[in-house]
Amino acid sequence: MERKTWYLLAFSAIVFLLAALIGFYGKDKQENITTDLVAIGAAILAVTVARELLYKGKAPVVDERTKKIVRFASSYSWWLSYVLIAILILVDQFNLATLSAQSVLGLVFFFMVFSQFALRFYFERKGDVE
Amino acid sequence: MKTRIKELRARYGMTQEDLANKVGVRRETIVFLEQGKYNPSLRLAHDVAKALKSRIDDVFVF
Repeated sequence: MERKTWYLLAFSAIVFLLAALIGFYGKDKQENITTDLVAIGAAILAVTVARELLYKGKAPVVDERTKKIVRFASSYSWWLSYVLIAILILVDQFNLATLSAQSVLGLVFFFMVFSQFALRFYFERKGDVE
Repeated sequence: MKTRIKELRARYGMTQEDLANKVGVRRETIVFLEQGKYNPSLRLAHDVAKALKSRIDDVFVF
């Protein structure tokens, strides 16, 4: 296994440990943090294991095309998130929906991650970004 | 952009994997180059041409 995989496994273990410590010693209000940390740790672990199985111990080669795709996907994702935030501001201004700070943060957080992955997948299939 | 990578690769008995390893890219990148779907950097175009013992303008047709 490559060094990066070990680091990711160690990081997920630390996240789980932190979740356990907060779970045992934290106050009642910190229950959500424990759940969030377990979810984050599980996600990191799942992605690391899937990546390891997919590439069978070999590091996926990163080349100029993949780097270009990641750069463009991140850039487009940032702009899409900007548009989403603008739409949310308009929704709030015109009282079209009741938005809490937590729901907006959650929506933007998942939208940024999802849109970046979706764009990367799309450009990977297409071959190039142009 | 059209390329003659496939033709030149066949001439030298190279697989896509061989060429990819030689120029340090993923095999998929060679696939997209052959299909003319990816515009390479000058550096990669130079490396591919060198690996195929040809000049850049013999490999890549603009």
